Amino acid sequence: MKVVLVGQPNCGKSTIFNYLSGYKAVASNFPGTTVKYTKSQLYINGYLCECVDLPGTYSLISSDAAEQETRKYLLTQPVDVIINVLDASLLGRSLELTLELLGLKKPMLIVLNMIDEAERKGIHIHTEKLAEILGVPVVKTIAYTGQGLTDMLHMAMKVKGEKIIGQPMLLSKDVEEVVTTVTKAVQDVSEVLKIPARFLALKLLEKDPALEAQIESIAPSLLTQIKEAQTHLKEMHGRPSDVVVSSERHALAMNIYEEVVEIIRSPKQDIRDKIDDIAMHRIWGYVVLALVFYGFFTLVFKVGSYIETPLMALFDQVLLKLQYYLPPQSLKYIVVEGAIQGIAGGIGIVLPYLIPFLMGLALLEDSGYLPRVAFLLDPFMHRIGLHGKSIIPFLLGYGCSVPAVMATRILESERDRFITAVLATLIPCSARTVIILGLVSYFLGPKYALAVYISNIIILGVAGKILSTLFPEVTPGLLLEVPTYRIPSFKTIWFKSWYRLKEFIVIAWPILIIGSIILGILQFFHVDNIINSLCRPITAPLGLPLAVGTTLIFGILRKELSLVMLLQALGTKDVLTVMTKGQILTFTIFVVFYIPCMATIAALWEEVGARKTVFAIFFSFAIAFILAFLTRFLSPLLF
Amino acid sequence: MRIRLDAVSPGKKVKVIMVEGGVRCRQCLGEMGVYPGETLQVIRSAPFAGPIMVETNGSRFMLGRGMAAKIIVEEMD
Ligand SMILES: Nc1nc2c(ncn2[C@@H]2O[C@H](COP(=O)(O)OP(=O)(O)O)[C@@H](O)[C@H]2O)c(=O)[nH]1
Repeated sequence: MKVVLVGQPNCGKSTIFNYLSGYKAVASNFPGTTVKYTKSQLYINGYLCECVDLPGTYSLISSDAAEQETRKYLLTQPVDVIINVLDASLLGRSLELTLELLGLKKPMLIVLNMIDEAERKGIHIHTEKLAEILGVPVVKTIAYTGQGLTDMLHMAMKVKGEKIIGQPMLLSKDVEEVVTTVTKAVQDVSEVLKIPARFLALKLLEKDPALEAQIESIAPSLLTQIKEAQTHLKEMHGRPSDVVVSSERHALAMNIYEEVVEIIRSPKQDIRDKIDDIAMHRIWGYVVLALVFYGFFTLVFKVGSYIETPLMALFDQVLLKLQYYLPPQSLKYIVVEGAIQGIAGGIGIVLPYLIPFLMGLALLEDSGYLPRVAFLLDPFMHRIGLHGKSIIPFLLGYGCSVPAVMATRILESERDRFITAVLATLIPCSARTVIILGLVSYFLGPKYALAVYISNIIILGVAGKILSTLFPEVTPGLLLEVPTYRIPSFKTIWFKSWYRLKEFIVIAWPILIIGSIILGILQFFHVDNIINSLCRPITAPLGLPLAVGTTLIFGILRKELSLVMLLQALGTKDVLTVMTKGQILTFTIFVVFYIPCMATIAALWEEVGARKTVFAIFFSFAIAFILAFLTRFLSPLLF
Repeated sequence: MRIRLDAVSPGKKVKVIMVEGGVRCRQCLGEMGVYPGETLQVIRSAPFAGPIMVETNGSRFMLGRGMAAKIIVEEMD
């Protein structure tokens, strides 16, 4: 049995999914978190069920890429039960999607989530009445406590067993007449496309571009007929046909809302409404923004360096001890040393910064603060030819470039997606943060690390400007829901960080250890010299030691490798003895910007295609090289 | 009096008369609850000609000036 969760963004779908699947998906408090669907298998009453969490979507008209994913899935995949999750505190608006889903004629179940929020607002919903109107069962839930979710699953079984598909809602008489005519006209085509005829008719009257194109390719004459119907509706109502249909649906949803909702008291005063008076204030908003990010990075740095120093000292001692047991010049010693250095790199350098960083990021995401950042920074994003929504992929980019590139799907225009994706890969992800903190901050001081971040932002601005000049097109502009603030639950924060950390532990760390051993062996047989001389055209103009060449190559695999490998390639933990401060800075600048890591290249490839990915690689390399070159000659002024 | 939404000052309530612009734009705004006849309240606006924040039917959203200028509204008292 296949169950899909469908709902508008932020209705608590991921939370429900996580609860069901034992925390595997990532919940966030901003629209568009689930940008790709997540699957999981679970047992209900002993039946094996496949449960799919589809990206949040406001409607079944395709506007952004994430929403299209949901629609495509619903229209093409076999689905046994649709679980339509609604934010009960926003019932009126949420019902619009429900009305569209009913048109798909699939067994369906309504879940009123966030019942606690609705009650806080003084809203009581008569579920029986709602169930009667829509013709499908309705269940109330509070996802984060798990309340009602068992009920939900049992009801899903029942809906499937009895094939409860609900009843489609009729629009007003004159509109309905046009809809009926078009439904008849598209009957044959709808069977070919395997889309319910009435659903298809409504979407065509709403001028759905994807479906219009499909019709044009299989039955061009039908499209002329549809265009006539669109014009007819427009003449009757004095509004474009898409507005006529969507307004009708909106009115229907509002009527149902009026019928099933009882306002039992005026909403409780909520301090959360007051927070925005400061957090989105025209002056204080920016102060808060600066404080939040300053606090965030100091915390990560403080916690990280507090742990890093003693741990690294410990590993150094282990390595010293090792020399008693194995002859230092033997291959065995080299292999063991490489392994220990790989392990040490993980425990000593990456984890101390990664854990507080990921937890902090999860906290920011779940609190609902990020859309506020989009609001405050929208004007600046316009300067580089984008709009405020791009800030969300950018901020995710500080965690990892892969989800950042994927999150560009929340953007409407292809050009915005491309520019945002390329810029997001230039943002220092947590792996590069480790390099900045472990190298620049550790050896040159925190002020320099901060300077690296700030100059990164400036370069981002310049790069954005260059890209938007190369690809001139007007951005459609910002349109984003403002979610209510929520106190993130410790459980979600922990699971979300763990989910991302696991990726490091099971994928990156083994690569780190193996890479470290390989480098040791390469050095043993002096093969690294060959690679280093091949990298000479890069390292020489930048004035870097020849030995860093290999680390740059490894860095393309995983950015963390650059740092750990650097320490190993130079043969010391005390980098200052072999590199000048200027060289450290040049190296870091180069590593921060040059070629995205393998995983990111793969993600880019999927999102923007091969040609643009190759462009992104060259673009980032050019930036890295130019900046590092400048740093080489300007750094003597600093130190 | 009919004006465009970007000219409405914070705190004011307005009624939507019509939405200009292409199908895509109308659909996206519809998803946020902007339909002819609905009431909107402008909550605040960002500096530097930034976006405005609007409330309708209990939900809040932000929209850029460019998009706000496509919504023709009538002030209510
Ligand atoms: N008050 C309340 N908050 C909830 C409930 N369910 C989920 N949330 C919170 O709502 C936010 C959005 O949830 P999420 O699952 O990411 O929504 P999605 O975008 O639909 O996947 C998260 O911060 C959740 O912790 C609920 O029943 N009541």
